[in-house]
This record gives sequence, structure tokens and C-alpha cells, in this order.
Amino acid sequence: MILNVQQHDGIDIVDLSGRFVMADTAETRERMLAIINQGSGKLIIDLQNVTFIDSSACAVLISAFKNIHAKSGRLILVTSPVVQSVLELTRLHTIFEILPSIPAAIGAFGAK
Amino acid sequence: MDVILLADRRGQELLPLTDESCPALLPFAGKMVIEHTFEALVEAGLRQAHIVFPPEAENGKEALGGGERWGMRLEISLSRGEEPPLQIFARWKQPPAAPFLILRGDIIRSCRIGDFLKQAEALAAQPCVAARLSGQNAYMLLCRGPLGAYLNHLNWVDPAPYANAEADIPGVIALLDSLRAYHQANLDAAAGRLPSLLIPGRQIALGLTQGRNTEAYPQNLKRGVAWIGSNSHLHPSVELLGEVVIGDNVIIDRRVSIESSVILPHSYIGELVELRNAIVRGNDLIRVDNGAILKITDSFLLADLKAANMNQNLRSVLSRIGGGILLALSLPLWVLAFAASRRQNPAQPYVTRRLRGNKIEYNRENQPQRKEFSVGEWNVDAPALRYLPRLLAVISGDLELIGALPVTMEVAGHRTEEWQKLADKAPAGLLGPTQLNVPADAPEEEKLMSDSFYASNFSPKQDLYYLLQGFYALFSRKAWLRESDR
Repeated sequence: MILNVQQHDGIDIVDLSGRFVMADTAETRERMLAIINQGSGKLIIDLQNVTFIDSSACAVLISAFKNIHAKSGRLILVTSPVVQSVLELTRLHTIFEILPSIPAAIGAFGAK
Repeated sequence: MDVILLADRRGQELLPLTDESCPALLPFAGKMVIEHTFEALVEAGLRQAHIVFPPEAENGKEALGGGERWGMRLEISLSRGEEPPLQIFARWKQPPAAPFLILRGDIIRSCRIGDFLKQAEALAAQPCVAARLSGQNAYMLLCRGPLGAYLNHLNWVDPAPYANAEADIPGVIALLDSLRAYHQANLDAAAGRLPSLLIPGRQIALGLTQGRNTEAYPQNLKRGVAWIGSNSHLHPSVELLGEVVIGDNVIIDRRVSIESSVILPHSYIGELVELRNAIVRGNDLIRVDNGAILKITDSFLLADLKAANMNQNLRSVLSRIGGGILLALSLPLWVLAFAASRRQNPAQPYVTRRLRGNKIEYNRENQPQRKEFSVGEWNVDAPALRYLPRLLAVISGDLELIGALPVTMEVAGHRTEEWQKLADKAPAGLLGPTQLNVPADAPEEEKLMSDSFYASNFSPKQDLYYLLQGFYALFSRKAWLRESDR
């Protein structure tokens, strides 16, 4: 799995691509925590290019969600149909804020 | 009259459902797709058919047999897949003789074929009559003349337009030409929008129909209509919404919510899972609304119960091999057991008991149940010697090497509560937590509780642990002394 980070108007955008599975979780969790600790509390995780996700990867997203909430920040996920299906299967779509595209997610931060 | 059933669609448009089979053999409301056409043919008095399958349908013959199940005589041949009928017939030693009925068997047709034949009779002057169902191509022709290009009207790929006589009869056609269409047709069948199909099951509540041996509850249906096949189990907390189809041998765990979905046979849906607009086959999740197709690797979410059966078969083979090895290693002990039992009980050194094993047989009501078997015991106090003959039952497959305590049919018959029945989910075995850790004279409830706990925490790792514990116990006092002397 590939993880890229960029910033846009004070918003951290983490772009994940490829298979997001158990083998990637430790490193991703650590990097995500570092981004949240150093960041502004505005985080977008772009999962549009994730081709597969399992439950341990979902746990990393939950941990990011918890960490950013502890900082009174906000996390928005941008998903692909595959990721969206897994989030709905596990009912995680009810806790995450999910938007269909990066511009929509950036717009949501602007609107708040 | 000859009947030719073209069932040679390869089903690329239905992948991954057709990765091991062809559309005609896919499950559809409790039966295979092609079975619905068989039933329509039998209703019209047509009991012989020649089926053309694609090369992918190697299991076609095995699945249909000779057709006796439907009161039919079936002949099966293979095509190259989605071939025009004329190309198929060119390879036949004897092409079909007029008059004959030719129709596709890999689509769903809700109509009375007899009505079409009657209307076609009225058009006796025509060499060929095509059926239309409420104006749509029904992929069915009655041919009285020589074979001709008109047969290309039945091609799956690019069906040729038809210019001859047509008979329009009432009915509905479902082409199953996409995953979305397959999903919708299943929901239509559950909701009764395909009225001519014979859908098995009985209604247990308004809108809720279920097949035999299925455990479902009226409160499962929150709103809408649901059809559940046979041998399926739904937890009382499961919620069904909209139109739902659940196939045979499906297990649905606690607090699952299913809306407008089709669950194909042999699937397990794990606790708290939410499904919407989906087709589930084993651990394949297909979302018909967003087009996502994915394999779920977490077996606590979705699992393929067929794969679990394969694991069970592998376990059974390993168990038999293990039993054989232990029998060979234990041969010197048999001499010791014989001598000890002759000394302790010269009148009856060897006794036989009847226990409930793991092999399955069908009772008078055609329900599967565990078969009773006979097994010997040396009439000695030392358990390690007493139960040696049970190794023979492990080799024969009546017992597993590791499992729950084997009981008599009478004891098993007294298990009526749900927690008591839990123990029956584990196979009966030579060694296990109850045999190794619970005293032989412990109350029946204690043994049952131990077996229920084993069944609910069943894992290969745990079995390996009990196997090692069994070896260790062989060198302990309790394996060689009677209970009161330990």
C-alpha cells in the first residue's frame, strides 16, 4: 500500500492506494498518528484508490477517528465503492463522515 | 415432440457468480435456473429434453442426473459456448426432427408453455412460430419446417430479428443478463412478480416464506417480503427489510440487518453485519447499486460454508489417518487390554455399546440425522485400555480423533434446550475436553456444559492442544487407574 501526504489550505490530505490490509496497519497507524499530532485537526483520508480493505485496516481508520476527536479535530473519508461497501457492511458508515470526492471534502471544511 | 434446451451461456456478464458454473445452474429461488424451465415443460406435458451446456458446465450432468427428479428424461451435450443453434446442430449425428420446441434454459420465464403451444397450433401453416411474453422475445420457438436461419433468433449473442409468425402469451421474462438483473429477478420471485414459478416453502407469517428445516421467526421480517430456503438458520434478532431472498443452508448471526438483498446458498453472515442492495455468495459481496465486487477475508463478517465443509472433510481425513497411526502404535496395549480384561472379567472381557456417531443418514421423514454405530470396550477399569477399540471407530469415520463425548441416541434425544443442542454442533470424538478433564461419574449436565463450551470455541489449534493433552494423559495415573483409586 502507498501512503502520500499533502496539505491544502491547512487541511492534511492522506492519500492511500492499493491493498490496505493487516500487514500495513502498524506502519499506517503510526504515520497517521504523527500526522494528526502535528496537523491542524483537519484531516481527509482519501481511499478512492484503495482496491481492497479488511477489518484490521478499518481499525486503523477508527483509531485515526478517535485520535482526531481527542484533539477536537475533524476527519472526513473519501471512499471508493469497494471501501464504501466494507464500511457499510461493518456499519462504520454511521460513525465516519464520508464524502464522494476530495473537492467536496475540502469544501466541507471550508463550510464549517 | 423433441425439446431442445439451449443452456450454453458462458455467463461472463454474471461473474463472479459464474466462475465455477454457468447461468443455467445458478441458484434461483430455491432451485437452479434451468429447473424452472423443466417444471414449465412438465406442466405442458413435455417430459424429454436435450440440453446444450457450455464447456464450463462440467458439473451439469452431475447436477441434473438423468432428469428423474422432475419426471423427465434428459440428454446432455456440450457446445463451444454461446454458439448459434445451427452450428451446434451441424455437429450432431442426428439433427432434431420437426416438429420440435427449442428454447433457452438459462433465463427465467414465468409463463405457461402449454398456452404458447396452443396458440402455435392455430398457426399450423407456419413452419416456425416464435413466442413473445407480453411483447418481449421469449427465446422460444416451435419449429415444424426444416432447420433454417430463423433459429438465430435464439442466439444469446446478437439474436437475429424474427420475421415469421409470433404468438404473444401473458407472462414475464427475466434474462439474467447482468448482476443487477439477476438480483432483481430474485427479488421479483420472492415478491410473487413471477407468478408461474413454483417457489418452494410455506408461509409462516404475512410476507415471510421459508423452506423445510429452516429456523426463522416472524419478528425477523420488519417490513416487506422475504423468501428463505431450506436448512437455514436466522437468529431471532436478524432484521429483514424490503425484498429479501435467502438461499438454502445459510446461517445469519445476531443483529444482522439485510435490506433488498439476495443471499445465495452456503453463506454465513456474521454478527452485526449490515447488507443493502447486495448479492452475497459465501464470502463474495456484490453491491448492485455501486458496482463493487469484493471478497471479504474476515470470516467473522462473511464466510463460505462450503469451504468450511471442505475443511471439515480435510479434518475427517486427517482424523482417520491419525486413528490408523495410533492403532498401529497401540497394538502392544491390545495384548495387555485382553489379558487384563480376562483377569478382571473372565465371563465378559469385551462388551459392545451403541453410540451416536458422526456419519449422517436420512430418517423416515427424509431429515438428516447422525447414525448410530456399535463399538467395543475392553471390560477393564483403566480408561486407556478400556476405550482402545474406539480407535477402530475413528478409522471408520464414526468418531473423530478429537471431539465431544460420544453419547447414546437416548441421551442425545433428551437434549432439547438450545444450549444443550450446542454440544451437538461438535463431532463426537475419542479425545476431547470432557473425556480428558471431566470425571466419568460427573453429572450429565457438567459433561454437556463442557461439550457445549468446546463446540462454541471450536478451532484446529484447540484440537491440537487436546491431542497433546491426550498423549500427556497416557503417562498419568488417571489413564491407568479406576476413578476411585486416583
